[in-house]
Amino acid sequence: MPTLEFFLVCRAVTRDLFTDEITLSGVLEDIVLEADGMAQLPSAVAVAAWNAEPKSDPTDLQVMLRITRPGETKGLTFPMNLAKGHNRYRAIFAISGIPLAEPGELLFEVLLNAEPCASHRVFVHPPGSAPPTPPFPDELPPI
Amino acid sequence: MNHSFLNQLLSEPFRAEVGFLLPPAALRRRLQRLSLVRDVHLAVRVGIVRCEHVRAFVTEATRDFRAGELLPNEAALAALAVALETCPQDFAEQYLLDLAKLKLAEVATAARVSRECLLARYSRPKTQTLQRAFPVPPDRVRVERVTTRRGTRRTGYEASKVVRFDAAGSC
Repeated sequence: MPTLEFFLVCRAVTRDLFTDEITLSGVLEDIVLEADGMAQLPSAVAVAAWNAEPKSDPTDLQVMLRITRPGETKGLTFPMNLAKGHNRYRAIFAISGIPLAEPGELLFEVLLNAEPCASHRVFVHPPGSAPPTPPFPDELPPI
Repeated sequence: MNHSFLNQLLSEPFRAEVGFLLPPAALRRRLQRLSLVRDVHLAVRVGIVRCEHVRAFVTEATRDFRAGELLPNEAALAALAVALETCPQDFAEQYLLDLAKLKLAEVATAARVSRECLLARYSRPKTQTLQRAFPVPPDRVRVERVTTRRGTRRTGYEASKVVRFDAAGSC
């Protein structure tokens, strides 16, 4: 059974055609609703990677991304198959236009063969509230 | 049938650019930096260079094969292996496997470069991508009239105000 290496949700991913390396930009942490109490997340890209046992038989795996919006108990799922391949698997889910209508926790979960692997929480703040800011320079601990 | 990108791999300027045949790992890194190899890689990625082009290229490159003599176009075969290393197409993998299996002294360096490429190819993750729009129940979709910069009013997809989700379901 492959072991999860990482799972992150961000705004965009770029992939180097030559080296196959990925760059994640804008990791999602906080979203503030607009004045009318709603917001739309233009795009969210969830990236997950698994390491497979080198000698294990390559089998198809089903990966699922589950998005649970604030105030909901049952999330929406986006299934995908990972074809048999090499030593590592990587799944990239690009979901556009996630509507948000109330503050709370926007939960992204990744499941491998229906078993939860990891989750990423994004905090949705009410209109007018600023997301947490880093401490002022004089509050920073000495190096 | 051949392609100009691939033809350039057989040219004398390219052979001069590659220079001496280095050990396989070093030669692979050297070839990765050459702009022509990167161009071939991109051409394969976007579908300009296809399976039949590669077949024709291999036929052309091995035309001067003579037993007991180094193949003059060995660098070109190695360069194509490097170009195909990360390409997802089946023929790319088949080319690497076929070249790596060769046990001929005439193309020993190209075969070893191909083995290096296969090792790197198998150590990379296999990436699957899914792109979806978040579905919104039709009864909760509201298409707003938006004003364009020219002042004309029309209904359509414009900015983020077009499709909105109303939690109260009052649309």
